[in-house]
Order: sequence, then structure tokens, then C-alpha cells
Amino acid sequence: MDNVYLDVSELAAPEPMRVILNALTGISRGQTLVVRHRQEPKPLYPKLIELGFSYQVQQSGSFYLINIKRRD
Amino acid sequence: MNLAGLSFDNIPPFSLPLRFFISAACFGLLCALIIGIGGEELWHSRWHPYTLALTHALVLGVFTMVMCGATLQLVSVLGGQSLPRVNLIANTTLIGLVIGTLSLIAGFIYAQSWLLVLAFTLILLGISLLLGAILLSIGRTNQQQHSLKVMRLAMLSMLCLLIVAGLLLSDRLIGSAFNQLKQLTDAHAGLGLIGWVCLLIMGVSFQVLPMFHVAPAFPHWSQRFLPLSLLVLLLGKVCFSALTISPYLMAIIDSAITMLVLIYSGVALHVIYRRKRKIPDPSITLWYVALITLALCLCASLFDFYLRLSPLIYASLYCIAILSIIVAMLVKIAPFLAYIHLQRQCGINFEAFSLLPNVHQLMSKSGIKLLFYSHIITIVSLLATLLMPLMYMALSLSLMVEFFVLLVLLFGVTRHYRKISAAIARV
Repeated sequence: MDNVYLDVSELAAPEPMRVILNALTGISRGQTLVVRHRQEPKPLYPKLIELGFSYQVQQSGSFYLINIKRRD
Repeated sequence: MNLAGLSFDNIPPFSLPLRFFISAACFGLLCALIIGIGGEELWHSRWHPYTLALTHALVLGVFTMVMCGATLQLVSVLGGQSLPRVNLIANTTLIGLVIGTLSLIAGFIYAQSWLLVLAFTLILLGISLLLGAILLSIGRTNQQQHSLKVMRLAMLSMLCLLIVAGLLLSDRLIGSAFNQLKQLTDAHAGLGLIGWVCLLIMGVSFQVLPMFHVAPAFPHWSQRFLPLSLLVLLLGKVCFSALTISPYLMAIIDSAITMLVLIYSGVALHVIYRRKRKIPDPSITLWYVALITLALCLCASLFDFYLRLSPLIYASLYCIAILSIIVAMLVKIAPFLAYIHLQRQCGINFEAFSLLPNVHQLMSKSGIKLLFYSHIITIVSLLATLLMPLMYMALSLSLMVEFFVLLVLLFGVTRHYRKISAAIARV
């Protein structure tokens, strides 16, 4: 699987959201955007669903890893 | 920071809070004018008509105006639902506050009681409507954000403040019938500056410091314990001041209130210090300036039995600390709100996402730096004026420049927002 990594953990609002949305435009089918964030970006989730993406969240220490890919 | 429940779907239009922020900047210019016209006498007594006019222009026209605008938006974001009839409520509040505050200023300066009555009626109408709508909205939501709970406490303080204001007005109209003028005035000032303003700043800071400065969340105990204890002590002081109780007990309550705000300052400084990405940021510097000024002012008040400083000095230092925080918040909140509305407008259009600006395209770094430096000059001018009241014109000019710069920045955000919004609409 082709993964694209994005670390937004040290960005102040609203940059994490902006950077993630911009990165999504470049994600094709089969690719996964792996986002590393310092907190769970719950306002992002409804947007992802709306845009046709699915996501999985894992906690890694004090960070969150959100795996985002296009829904089939 | 708990992001659970943050919702950007049901927020009022961007123009609503912006109207409050722009009005606040205009009142800031008016404050500068009052200082320029009031002259040296303004700094000799808190009972001078121009001093009263300036105090209310600042607290109502600037602080309350900004807080109402920010609260209008934050309650929707934190609570996940917009206020009912938000346009009507916001516009009524704005009109009530603007005309009411102008009437109040004129009433003090020209000693016209009818203007004070008009002011009280309009401000009461405007603020009560907003407070009622916000309390209803907070009551309906399931969100248990600490910021929302603290906002509720701040509003309770404002309601008590309005009641005391009514009593003060009655006292003025029917001539010292209550014989409690000083106690009522102190209660009014305490509920306003420490209750309403300080509590709201606490509540908002619990959210904005982690959000905008990549700082850790405030400790849980500070979010739960500090605001509630502060309000309880403040209300206790107001009630006890109406009774003849031991001055030592009152001194203990005063010291406890001072300690609570000092603890908040210390915790906030620690939270800011522990932020990630320690890059130079005027907003952070202003927070440091504000919290250190607040802490020094409060420490001095604990030793007032020795220092014997004028209440005007404490009030001035406290107000400049609050103004520093308000400027620090505005330069983050205004572009953030513009961005959120633009993002909503994009919907699910990928092409539109590429048009979304970063916050510095909405409010330039150079503009923010200019605002920062002009604010620092205002602080220096204030200190000079407190030492030598004949320096008042320097303070008036620096305040005028500062609020003019703020006004230009806010109009700049509006202009960029409209330009980008039009570009998104074309896609």
C-alpha cells in the first residue's frame, strides 16, 4: 500500500485542517494519507465522510495517527 | 484540549462577530479622544466625570463588545448549535450596546440623568437578550466543555452586575436613598472587571491557548476549581458588603479573590511556556505581557497596606492587561473565523480547497507586528501618565494609533475574506 505521511502535530488552528484538506486532493485510490496529530481532529471526520473518504484512528503515545483513504 | 463536540457546521455568519470587533475598535478610538479631552484631572480621581466615561467606554465599548462578538461565535462552535434567531439577537445587542454606551458616556460627561436611564435601558435590553439566548443554547447542548461552563458563570456575573447598576442608577436619581454608594460602586466594578471580564477571558483562554498556540490543555483542576471559586467569592463579597461585617473578613475575601486570579495567571503562564514550536509570535508576547502585568498588579494589591497606591493605578494596570489579552485573541480569532467560513463554503469541491488561504493571507504578519508595537507604546505611555498625568496626550495619541491599526487589520480581513469567497463561488 502506498502511504503518504503528514505531520500536523505542531501546527496551530486552523492550519492542520487546511493542510490535511489540501493533501487529500492529491490522494488517489489505493493510497493512504497517514496524518500525525497531537489531538484527535473530530471536526475533520464529518468532512472526510462528506468527501468520500474513510478513516481509522490509532493512538500512539500522546499522538494520534489517522489513516485516511478513498472509499470504494 | 478536548476537541470533542467542536462543530463548525452551525456557526453564525462571519459578519456578525466582525461587527462587534469593528465597533470595539471604534470605541477604542473614542477612549483615546476622551483621554485627550479629559486632561490631567481624569487621572486624579475615579469619580471624575471623564474618568467614569472612560472606564465605561473601555469596559463596555471595547471589552464587552469584543467578548460578546467572540462569545456569539464560540458558543456555536463549542455547543454544536447556532443561537436561535441569531441575526436578530446579535443586531439588537449591538445596537443596544453601541447607543447605550454612547449615552452612558454622554450622561457622565454632561451629568444628564435621562441619558443614564436611556443607557441602562438599552444596555440591559441588548445584553439580557444575548445572555438569555446564550444561556438557553448552553442549557440545551450536551457538551460539557469547561469553556461553556465558565461562560455560564461569566453571564451570571453580568446579570448581577446589571442589577447593581440598576441600584446605582436609582441611588443617583433619587439621591443617596440607599446610602451605599461606595459599596455599590465597588460591587459594580468587581462584578464587571473580575466577574464578567476575567471569567470570560479564563473560559475563552481554556480553548484558545491550546488551539492557537499549540499549548497543552489547562490542568483539569484549574478549569473546574478556579472560575467557580472566583464567582462564589465575588458574589459573597457583594452580599457581605451590604451588611456590616468585620473589615478583616472582607480583607480575607479580597485576598482570596486576588490569590485565585494570581493562580490563574501563573497556570496560564506555565501553559504558554510549555507550548510546542516556540517561534516568535506577537500574540504570545502579548499574553506574557498581560499575565505578568496582571500578576504584578495583584501582588502589589496584596501589599497595598504598605504601598498605598491609588485605586486608579490598580484599575489602569488591570485594564491594560485585559486589553493586551483582547488584542492577542483578536489577531487569532478574526482570521480563524474567516477561514472557517471559507472552508464551509468550499463544501466538497476539491478545486475550491486550493483557494483556502493560510491565516497570514487574511491578516498579515507585518500588520500584526505593527499592532503589537503600537500596543507596547500604549503601555509605556500609560505608565508614564500614571507617574505624570501631564503625559496624557501621549497616551491618547498612542491609543488612537493602536485602535486605528486594529481597525485597518479588521477591514483587511473582511476584504480578503470577500475576495476569496467570491473566487470560491466562481469555482
